[in-house]
Amino acid sequence: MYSARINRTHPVAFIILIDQSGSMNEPIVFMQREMSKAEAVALIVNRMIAELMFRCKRDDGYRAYFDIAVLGYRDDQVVSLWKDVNRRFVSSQDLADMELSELRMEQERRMPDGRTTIVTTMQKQWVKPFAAGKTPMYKALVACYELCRSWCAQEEHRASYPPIIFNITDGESSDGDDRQLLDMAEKIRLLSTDDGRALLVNIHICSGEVCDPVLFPESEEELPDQRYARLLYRMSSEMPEVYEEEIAALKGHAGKHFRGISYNAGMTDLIDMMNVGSVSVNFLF
Amino acid sequence: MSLSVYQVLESVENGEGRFRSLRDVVFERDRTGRPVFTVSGRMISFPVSWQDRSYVLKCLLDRNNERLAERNSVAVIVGQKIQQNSYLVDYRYLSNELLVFDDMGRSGYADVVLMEMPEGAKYLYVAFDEFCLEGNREKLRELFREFCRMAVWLIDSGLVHGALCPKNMLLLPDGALRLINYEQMRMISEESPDYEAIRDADNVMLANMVLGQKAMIACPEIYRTLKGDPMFLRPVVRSSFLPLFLEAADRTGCLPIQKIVGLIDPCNRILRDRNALREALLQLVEDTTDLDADLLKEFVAERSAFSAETPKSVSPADEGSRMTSRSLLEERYDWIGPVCESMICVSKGDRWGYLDYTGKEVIALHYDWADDFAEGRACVLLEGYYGLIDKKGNEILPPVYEELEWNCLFGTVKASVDGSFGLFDRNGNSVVPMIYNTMGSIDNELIVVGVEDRFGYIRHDGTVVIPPVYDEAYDFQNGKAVVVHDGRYVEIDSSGAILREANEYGVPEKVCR
Repeated sequence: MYSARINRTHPVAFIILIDQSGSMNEPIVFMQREMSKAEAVALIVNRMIAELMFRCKRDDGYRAYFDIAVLGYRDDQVVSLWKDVNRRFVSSQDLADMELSELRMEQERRMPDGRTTIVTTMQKQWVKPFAAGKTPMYKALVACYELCRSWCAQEEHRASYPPIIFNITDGESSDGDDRQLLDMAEKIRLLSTDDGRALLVNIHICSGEVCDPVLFPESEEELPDQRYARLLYRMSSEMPEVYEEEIAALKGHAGKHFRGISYNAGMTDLIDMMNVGSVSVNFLF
Repeated sequence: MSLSVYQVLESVENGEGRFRSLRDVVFERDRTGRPVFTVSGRMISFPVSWQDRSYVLKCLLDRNNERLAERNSVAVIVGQKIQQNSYLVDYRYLSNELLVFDDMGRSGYADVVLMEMPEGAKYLYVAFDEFCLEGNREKLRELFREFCRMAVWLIDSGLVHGALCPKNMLLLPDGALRLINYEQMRMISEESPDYEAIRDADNVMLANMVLGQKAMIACPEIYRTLKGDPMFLRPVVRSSFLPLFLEAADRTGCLPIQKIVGLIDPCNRILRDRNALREALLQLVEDTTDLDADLLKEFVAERSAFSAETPKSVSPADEGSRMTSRSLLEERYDWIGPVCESMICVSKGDRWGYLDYTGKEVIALHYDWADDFAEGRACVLLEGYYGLIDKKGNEILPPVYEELEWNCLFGTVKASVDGSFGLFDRNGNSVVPMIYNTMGSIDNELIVVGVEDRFGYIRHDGTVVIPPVYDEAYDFQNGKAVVVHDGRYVEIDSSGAILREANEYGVPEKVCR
């Protein structure tokens, strides 16, 4: 289980659900710059996509190792965030060919000898930031379920590593009650390939300046005694053994039965969560 | 946590002050000016030049201290051996070499490996491709002698490479060979807990490559079959090929090859006697006896003839379905197979696929290797693993198997994963689950199988004909097989009845004669 090799005929599916509600306009400081949470999340998602693309690179170009879908949810809509909004899953090979704008990123680095230097990197903008309206998370989970179900049902995906879903949100759902959210999350978690069940990772981003994050808890008790934190915990998948080494390195101690959820995460925690969820898979090449 | 490729690329693209000792390393760049790289598992590799020589710089994305320490110790061993006029390339492990930053601006250091890539060198599999396509037996012969010298050196050095295969060997312009990619290399000692397994894997791989190359010298066309065979990828014993190599050596009296085949234990799939292997290799450096070319050509022809069919003649009106001409295909493809069941296996560069007999590409060239069709099925290799496809390119068995053999006469597929063997039918249905530690040739009605050091025989439908009671057991030949029971070598028939004592130790000879 969770050991299927990744190749061109058996790609891995990633689905990223992004909360694009109005609260995501809130300003934060990230990478030494002031920006909105929506901009930071777009940056991080684009970075993760770039990382997955790098992992696909071979001498003869980019291989179709991944099928990636990015859905934004806001107001009462769930939309694909690719340039072509009619496309849901896009393979890594097709992503490499996309003509896109690039964002010039400059960051200050303090070198060991004390001097600072400005480094420049160019990042492709597969996904653009947006924030307005309410938080139709239930609708997003329904769309995710349909997408994931049809991907798993395809014969050529039966032997693939199971899909990995990231749900990134900073607040509570404005549609669907707790029961509906739990049921839909369970339906998603029950989807599977022959190599195991889909993994649903819920990443809750903090809304204040100071974050007190809990990442990959081993029990509900590690989370604050708040209804929504506990709800997200129950919605999330238990992480399989293949992720334990990376999670242990992140948390600083070994453990078992880590749950795929973060609560009150800052942006670097978001990066860490997504790295754990994607990087471990990359060792299956 | 593991490093990301992004972090490493940021350091490489903003290189000033990032390297502790490799300050003047120059990265090869693509036409957009970005560094050229590939990622494989836990490593990102860059072609670079440093001090006017070409290298591959490998940055380890792993942060596991144990694995890093192992890599470091390999480099120390290699460093010592290089002094001794070896078949190794310059290989340096530089710990805490590359300064990297995370998104919070926190810095750390990553370990790197610098491995030389000698100017003008080509991978051994590329040399095989070239020489065999040209039919250049002289070059194959010179290469083979050098290979044997290198193999002797490796045994004498006490080193085990751990990942021997043509992709991990370079042929230099002066005809010298070099081993590369030492990440799994180690010094063997009898005290190591996995001593036997490591030693046996290297031994088997050396033997496979010797047998394969000797066959290629006599019959370069055989490379087409051997290239995609697991014997050139992994340390597997191909019991179905051993009789062929032995017979081809017997006919011409090539004693060292007879000896090497005799050293391979097809039952346990190992080659224990490293010293005897060394002696045979030393003899092969001087021995000019070729294997029997006619027998090998017959083997190549038989494999093609069984599945090839004469295409139906078409009426002049059916222009669209007229068979294409070979010369036209030769302009487009590097390798063109025979027409087998109206399908033509072709390759371009290192990509393999299929055309129909009109020359239209019907299965895309995206495999690493592909075999000819037989009874509607063909074995393919993708990213180092084997699968089975039908003539529409549908996967009957996905490319996840370490070994895979398709026998169209019995309609059986033998496959292995993680060292366990089982059987499937032509539709990919499991007939025998993967419960056997060893499995012999499926060219016979009875198949030798092994479970936990006990051996017996099954039919293609999985029926156990002779339970696993033997200490050793070998493939049936002409209705008889040699087994070892209570320490005695005996010959049995297909019911398990003992026919006679087997007096000689040379079991494979017994099997073949």
